[in-house]
Amino acid sequence: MDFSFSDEQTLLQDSIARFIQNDYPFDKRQKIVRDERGYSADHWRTYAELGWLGVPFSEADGGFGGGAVESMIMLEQFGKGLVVEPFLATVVLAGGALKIAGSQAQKEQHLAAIVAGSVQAALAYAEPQGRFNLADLTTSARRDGDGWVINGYKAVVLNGPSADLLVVSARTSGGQRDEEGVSLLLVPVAAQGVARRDYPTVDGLRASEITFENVRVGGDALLGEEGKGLAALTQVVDEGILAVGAEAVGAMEVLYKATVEYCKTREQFGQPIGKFQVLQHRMVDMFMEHEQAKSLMYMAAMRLDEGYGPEAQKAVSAFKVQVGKSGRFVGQNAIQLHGGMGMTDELSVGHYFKRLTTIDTLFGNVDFHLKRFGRL
Amino acid sequence: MDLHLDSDDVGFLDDVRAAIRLHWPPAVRRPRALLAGHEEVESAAAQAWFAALVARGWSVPHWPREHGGTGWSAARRYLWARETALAEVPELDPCGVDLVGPLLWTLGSAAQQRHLLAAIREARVRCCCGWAEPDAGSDLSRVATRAVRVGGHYRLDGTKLWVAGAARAEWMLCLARTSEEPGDPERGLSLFLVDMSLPGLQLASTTTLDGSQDLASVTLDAVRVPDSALLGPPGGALAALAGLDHAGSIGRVLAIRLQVHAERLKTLARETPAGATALADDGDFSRKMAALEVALAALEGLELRALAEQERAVASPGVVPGRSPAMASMLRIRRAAAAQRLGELYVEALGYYGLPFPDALLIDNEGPIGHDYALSEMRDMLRGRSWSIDGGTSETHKNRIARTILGF
Repeated sequence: MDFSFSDEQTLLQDSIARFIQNDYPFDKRQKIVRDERGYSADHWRTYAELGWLGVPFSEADGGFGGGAVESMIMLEQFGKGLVVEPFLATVVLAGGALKIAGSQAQKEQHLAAIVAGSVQAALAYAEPQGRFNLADLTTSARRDGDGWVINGYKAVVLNGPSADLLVVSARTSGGQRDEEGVSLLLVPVAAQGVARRDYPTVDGLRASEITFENVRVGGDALLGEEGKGLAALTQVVDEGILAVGAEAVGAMEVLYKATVEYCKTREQFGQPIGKFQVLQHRMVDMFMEHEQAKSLMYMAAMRLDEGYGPEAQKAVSAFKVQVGKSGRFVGQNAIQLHGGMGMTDELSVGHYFKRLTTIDTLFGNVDFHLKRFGRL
Repeated sequence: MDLHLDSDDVGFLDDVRAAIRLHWPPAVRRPRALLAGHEEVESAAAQAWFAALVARGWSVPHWPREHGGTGWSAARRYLWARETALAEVPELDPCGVDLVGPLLWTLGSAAQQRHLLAAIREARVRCCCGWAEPDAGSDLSRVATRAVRVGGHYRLDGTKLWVAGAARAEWMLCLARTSEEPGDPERGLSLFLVDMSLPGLQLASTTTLDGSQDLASVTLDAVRVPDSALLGPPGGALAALAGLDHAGSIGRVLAIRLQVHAERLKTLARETPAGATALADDGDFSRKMAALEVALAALEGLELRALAEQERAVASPGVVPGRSPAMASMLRIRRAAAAQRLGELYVEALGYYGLPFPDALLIDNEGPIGHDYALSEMRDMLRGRSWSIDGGTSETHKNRIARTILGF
């Protein structure tokens, strides 16, 4: 039991913090966002070279043996820079699914490529009717000789436009919302019958609506056991929650600090507005919201590293609830205290707010996770 | 960073659990109020528990080793706090353990330390804190109790309010003015350790909302104390207290105690009918309950981090920036909010049976009315309004965070 970072963990944190500081200023980030691809291929190569794309995978899988704490450390720093490279989609979600459910052969083929930075991937799990229920699936996969035929529709697939490889959740048996009968399949985007509609998201990322029409894949496309995919999918999503939650914690830190600095210099009514106690207390509340989210982030990461089960799930849901509440409070008040300036696209504040807003929705919002927490 | 218990920690945990089972056996355990009244710590079982702690050298784990602390790591202190909270053990006099003790080892003379440190550690004496006055609450610079040097002693005159545990304390840590400092009233304040049995000192109990009389006002009318009663340099009281406040706030894992009460509340909700089902199945109530539990989990995480920061600060003094006072303020604010929310939900759950308020003088002795711990929970809610007042209001703690962390 140890509540402090190890030297290696501190080193990882410092190296990413330095990268964000030196190579990821807000104006450059905005340039990347407006670029056709929506992320920087150069940066992605850098991440691969620095070994960051392999951090969450075991050494046996070609990674660096990090766990949830290491992922958390990375994403918190990414959140401070509003990093748009698809680390979440490719490494945490698709890579996570391979790590959890993949066979040795599947890992060797795909994980190694992800770690090397040569493959982009995405997790296609959400459907329009399912809201946050991972088991609510109309997309189906049925056996066809040795392989599978997939039909259906996936909504808001993050990194869909750039992905080479999709991890798709589909129903292989049972009713639309049954826990049994969910399977995960690896689908190349280039496969016949896959159609995408690509678009930007409000927080500067890219996503796709994807239709699957009689898409044929081989028997080796099945990731994990047939019909038992929900457990792996749930775990992947919980690891995704830690990741986006850590991003939110980083974003909140930037926002409360930027707001404090602004209020020290902005003068109205003959004094810096930070002299007004009503604003000071608001900023203290922002600070405390951030600290609470950070506390639950550590708990969630440590619980996930202790082993995946109900305790970890509970800690993850508690974290997500706090991230949703704190993120909204910190984001809204950062804009409020920046006044008219906060409303402009030119200032970074609003972009952090947008990311915090989408993070609340991703993988289930406050209401969803409050209910899940209560049930667990 | 991990929660993994290595074999040493497991051994430690086993020792702690065995000690608790032995010295605070299930037979003596009862649901405890969050803010314990004096009858609880004065019970024979509580005294036996304190004696066992003293015998093992575990009565003040967070004190420095040279003064009888345990030198436990942050992890062990967390485990200790967790296990004792789960068993709802009584707690040693907080004024002595968290304030007078640390003040003695940081400011006290050798003679003062000899006189009281061991006695506090061994639960032989109890202390109370005389801070507030009719005109001095959150703003202690307004303290008007005077300490005037006359001959070979100090003469104290003034009135102290809201003194918790005054009636059973042998010593009062008393804030008094030793000099007038126009322009900087804080500089004229000093700390005294006042023997409560001295002539001229008078108590009058104060009845609080919950009907208890644990608070008192203390009047000092020409109370003569020796020079040796002065603790630390004259005029240095507020500086000493500001540097110290975190000692009492950090190191407790109050979240676990609150979680114990939250579990009890969930049981109550399961047993409380609401229409055709139980209150626990009511969507609105269960949602509020889950939100409270998330707040408690966040508080636990915050308390853990405070422990870890404190451990790092002790390991490498000067390296860790002085965040402790702000961390202590944050803990106070969040604890207050969580404890008060818990009290509110209890009252909601009790429904009509939150109403009976048995006055010892006006009721029969035929056992509880309604739920058997309804009364103590309602009292906790009432008394719990003090969470955000006692030890500095939440608003003054926000001022402190704004000053020390945000730089206003």
